[in-house]
Amino acid sequence: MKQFFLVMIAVALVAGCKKVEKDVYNYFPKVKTVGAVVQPDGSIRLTGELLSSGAGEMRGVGFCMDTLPNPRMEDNQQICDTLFGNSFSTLYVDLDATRKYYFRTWAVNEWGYAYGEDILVDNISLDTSIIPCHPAPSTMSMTDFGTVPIYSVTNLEYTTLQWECSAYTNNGMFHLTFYKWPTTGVYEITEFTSISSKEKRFVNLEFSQTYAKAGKLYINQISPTLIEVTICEAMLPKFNGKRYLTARFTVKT
Amino acid sequence: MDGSKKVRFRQRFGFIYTSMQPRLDSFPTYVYRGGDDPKFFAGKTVYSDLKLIMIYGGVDLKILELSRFRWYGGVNIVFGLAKMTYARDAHPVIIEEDVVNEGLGGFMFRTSFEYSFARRFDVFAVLSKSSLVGQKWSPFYGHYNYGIGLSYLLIPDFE
Repeated sequence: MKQFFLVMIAVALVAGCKKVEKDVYNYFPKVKTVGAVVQPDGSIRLTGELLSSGAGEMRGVGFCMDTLPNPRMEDNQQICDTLFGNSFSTLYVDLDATRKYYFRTWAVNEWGYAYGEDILVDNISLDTSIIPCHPAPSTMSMTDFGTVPIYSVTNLEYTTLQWECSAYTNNGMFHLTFYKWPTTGVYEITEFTSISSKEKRFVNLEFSQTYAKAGKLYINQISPTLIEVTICEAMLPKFNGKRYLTARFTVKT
Repeated sequence: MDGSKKVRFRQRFGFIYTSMQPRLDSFPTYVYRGGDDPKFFAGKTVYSDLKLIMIYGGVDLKILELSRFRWYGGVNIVFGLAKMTYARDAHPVIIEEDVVNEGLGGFMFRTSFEYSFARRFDVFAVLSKSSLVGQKWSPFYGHYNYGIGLSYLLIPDFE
């Protein structure tokens, strides 16, 4: 019994040492949305700052995003695993350049959570200076064939988790297959036609029943119904070597 | 009064009933879902009907006595029950509402200042700090009480 009371006294004294916060909000973390910078490829670099971890152990920080103000923590959530001092950062990709987005930081500790302020981003665009080739509008150039006009492009069509379009020239047609809705950004051209959900920034380019093995494709969303496609140096294998396709055209969506 | 007959210790027993108000209408709580796609879900928890019912007993030591003024310090053993209702909503992961009853035990440290302004009548100011251990909901309860009052001594210990 005596030991029980000694233990109780010890526990009570330890409990009694726990600081009570006068301002209840001091229990929760404080966080600030520092900035949102549109990158040359149309992605957005978000940075945040943890101002205070509150009165409890930190459990996580990150960002959320929505097309409406005051996004909730779970909306397009990104968790940041690393703090650089008190700063943290992440990259949002595959955003529709024709829409506006609201971002804000969040932080959680053992007591609860807090948000930073909203930041509105409505100027997503591709920095065309990063495009290494400069084909004329509505043209296709290919090794051995020279430059020819693209006289027709089909509308972008959706078929079972793929978006497809075809461009026609007097030297033949080529077909593009996207594995996500083609938003502003840079895409890798690949011959692989089975793309996992984490590799959606890949695209297939098929010309004369042959898949291009490499190259880059640049999408610039001009309006909600029109995108501009620029293909640079798509490498197409041929019987005794390879040839390159470069093109630029617009597609209706 | 004869100083040699003054009582330095006194026993105290009592009953405390406290109806508490939460410091926020709703607390910003969250739920973490682990796995391949870990995610935090924002939510809120609303507390209501917070009550503490406790009995205590202990001793006070008279630290100082100057004429009609007395200063006491003491410690009590406390046992009781905490009750509260909570509603937690972190849609779509969890939505729940429950009533929690929890046994409490611990100590209450107290100091009081008393002034006898008439025979059997005192005015007093008291400050106490309770440090309690709970069974399940919260490991520690710690809170201060302070107040002033008027007391009537049924059995005066000065005579």
